[in-house]
Amino acid sequence: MPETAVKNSIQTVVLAGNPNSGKTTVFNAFTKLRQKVGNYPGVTVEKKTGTLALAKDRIVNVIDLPGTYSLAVRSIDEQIARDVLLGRAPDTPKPDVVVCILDASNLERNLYLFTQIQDLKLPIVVALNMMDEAEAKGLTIDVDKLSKELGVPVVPMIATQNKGIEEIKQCIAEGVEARYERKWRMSPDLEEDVEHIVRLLKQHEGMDDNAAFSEAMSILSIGRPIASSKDSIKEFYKEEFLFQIQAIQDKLKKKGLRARSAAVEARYNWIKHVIKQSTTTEGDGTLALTDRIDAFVTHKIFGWLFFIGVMSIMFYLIFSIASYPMDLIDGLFAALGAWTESVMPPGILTDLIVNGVIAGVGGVVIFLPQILILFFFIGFFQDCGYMARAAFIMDRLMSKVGLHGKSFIPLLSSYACAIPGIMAARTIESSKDRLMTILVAPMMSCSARLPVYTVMIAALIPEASAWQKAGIMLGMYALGTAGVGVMAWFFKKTLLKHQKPIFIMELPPYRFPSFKAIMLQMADRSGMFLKRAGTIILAMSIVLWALMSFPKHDNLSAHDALQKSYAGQIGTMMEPAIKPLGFDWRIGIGLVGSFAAREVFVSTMNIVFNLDEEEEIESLRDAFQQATWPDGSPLFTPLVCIGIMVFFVFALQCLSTVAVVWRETGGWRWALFQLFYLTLIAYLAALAVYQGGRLLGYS
Amino acid sequence: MLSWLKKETNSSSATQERTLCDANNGQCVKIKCLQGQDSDCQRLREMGFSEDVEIEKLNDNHAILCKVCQTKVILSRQLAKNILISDEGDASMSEIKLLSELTEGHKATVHDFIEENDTCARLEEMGVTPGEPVEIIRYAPLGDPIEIRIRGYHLSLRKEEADLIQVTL
Repeated sequence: MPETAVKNSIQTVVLAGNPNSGKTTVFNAFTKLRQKVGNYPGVTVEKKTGTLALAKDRIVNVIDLPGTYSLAVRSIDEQIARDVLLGRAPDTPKPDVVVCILDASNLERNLYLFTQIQDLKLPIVVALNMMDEAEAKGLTIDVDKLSKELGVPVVPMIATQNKGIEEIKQCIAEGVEARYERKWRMSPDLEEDVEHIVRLLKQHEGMDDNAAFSEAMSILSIGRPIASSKDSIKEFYKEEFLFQIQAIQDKLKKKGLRARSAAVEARYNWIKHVIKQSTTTEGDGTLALTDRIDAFVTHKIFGWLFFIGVMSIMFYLIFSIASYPMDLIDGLFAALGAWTESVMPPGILTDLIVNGVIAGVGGVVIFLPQILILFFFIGFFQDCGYMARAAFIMDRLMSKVGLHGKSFIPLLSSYACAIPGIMAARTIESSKDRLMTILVAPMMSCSARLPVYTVMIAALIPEASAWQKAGIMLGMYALGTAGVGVMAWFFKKTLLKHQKPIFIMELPPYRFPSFKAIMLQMADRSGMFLKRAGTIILAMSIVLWALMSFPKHDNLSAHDALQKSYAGQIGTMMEPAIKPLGFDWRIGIGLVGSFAAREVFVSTMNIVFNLDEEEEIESLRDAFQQATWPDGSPLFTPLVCIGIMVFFVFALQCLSTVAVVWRETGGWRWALFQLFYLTLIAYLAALAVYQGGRLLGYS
Repeated sequence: MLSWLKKETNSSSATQERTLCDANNGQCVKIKCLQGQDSDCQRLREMGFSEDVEIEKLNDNHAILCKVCQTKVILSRQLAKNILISDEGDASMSEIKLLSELTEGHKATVHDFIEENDTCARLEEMGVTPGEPVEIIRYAPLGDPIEIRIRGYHLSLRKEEADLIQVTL
């Protein structure tokens, strides 16, 4: 009977392990499609949860911890991992069993995290994953011996082939006990001091053995209590206790002992012993194929060619293949709009649904195919191991401006659309590097700017040849890219300067990626994109529609009604501010409208210049040429056209981006800061173009 | 290795007393005796520079940075001249270099870190600990970062980080 009690008490299973240990594959095998991805409250760390059916009527929760190398609490990921394991994370139940996933082909380093988890005295089951790879490396692991040495059940596993999944489920279902005695030992002197602090903690703070030990190690090695990563130890404990700790620390210093290194080394020494007992190696323990591929893809010449080739193919596919489903979606929404218009009586409601809801939401959903393709490639590169190599060869270039090597995929992706780019920044572990990438990413000219550039180039040089158009377009792309470099450098020197860039990255062996995992990730990302960005775009589309439609002036022409609408009033109010750029109130409306999405500029201009939206761009061009200031001077001079384009290069006119940044940075502060600084740069750049150009004698 | 040997023979043949100023960067030496004014010697002793103590010279710019009793101390050249040394370091007489000074294919053993900061802590946790063999696999096409093999897996780190790691060949 006590056995059943153990069984039923298991409710939460936590998966822990190093990055690249196959944690996600195990999580997918456990939860199938019963998973959901969210965020831990208040931080940007992704929280993956799901359910696992241990038996027919036994469903337990599964939490996938962020992949970390350590629990030392030096990054948010580690903090979250530790908090979840200790049952301190908000809205997260304390784990009943920890499944520690170890890469069998890289056991030594993987066991380091295991020793830290074991110190927390939780019931552990080890999933010894990637047994096939260990074999390929010439490693033979005696699982029983390993289990005996570690003191926990060990289940060999090849998660990609679904081998070992049933066995480990059974192991969890049978119940696991937390029997543990610390086996790694530091030098006797240090052990004595640790024990001393443990005694003090138990006496003064009433901690139990387990908590007191972790706390003592934390205080000795990183000089601060576990509970807080920022505040100093002084705020936590009484003075006499601090005094005693200080005395111990002084003593250690005199002896030349470093508690932190001593603990790390002690753990690794014990691991060495465990491996010696349980593992035999044949050959030199290297993977010949991985080494050969690496020699090619990181080669001084071929490495670059391969990189450029792969990236070109990816972007070619994003633009070419995606255009078919994009046209289809566009057509669907247009048809839906037309159908709605035909079945509903004309009026405000129909106008709202057709021009507000359908057009607005359709304008966002249209980017879904690009996002799916991009995330397919990102998932593929990440899982097969090429991402780390690409970061390896790109890091030098990126580090020149203070960016992380892994920033290049998010930045390149932003040429298609900043939203998947910003989401792709999740692959960067360091939060500051990630924030910087997010802050500069929208300056990469995205595909939504294309319609604006096209219209303005046509207005600038009506008879432009394809080469001239391409040249101007390329110039705009180059300008944005230069902006990324300059601003990244600027942020590194100012806002984010305290962060010393750390670039310590594992280069995992090449692996065949699991397509199921990639598909699941694509589904997650696109679901998030549709849900969050979609709701905000929907709301803003309605607001913009209302601003341009009210107050109603039925007896006026569309043009006059617009001028009298709220949007028109805003435009007129803005005119003094944008006049130095050479813009009038009508362009002002376009700018206001385009803050929802950049393409809206073109459709707004169409309405503003009293055109039917169905007409082609050529007519808008004519309208531009005829547009004048009240005094009769032409409005769209070459300088104004260039000014508008430059403004669009820098300005963050995309609500979806603001919404995604808001979500990804876990608060409104960075999102609003980004909106502000990019708008400021855009304004100043357009001002420089117009005023500078006039000084030089252009019009 | 060779350059160091040459230096050794030079100094012994000249039978000249070597001071801390003459030691190479990264070299472990033993203090033979202190010379000069009593007050100077007294101050040096207070900081741990006494006879038969092993010290490691880390850097030699204007002043000299060295490690004594596991703490780092900066000395003026003037004071360093007061310290006479013999080359009986603990590092089993082998030359200490920075990991970033090695070239592709070199194998070495991790000796120590020249600083104590979060980066070093991270490296230690990733398995870069004293006594562990390490191999330079390759430099990235633009010369940075560096790919190394440690504990049977591959790690990429920037030169800045490799500058923190001392190795013995």
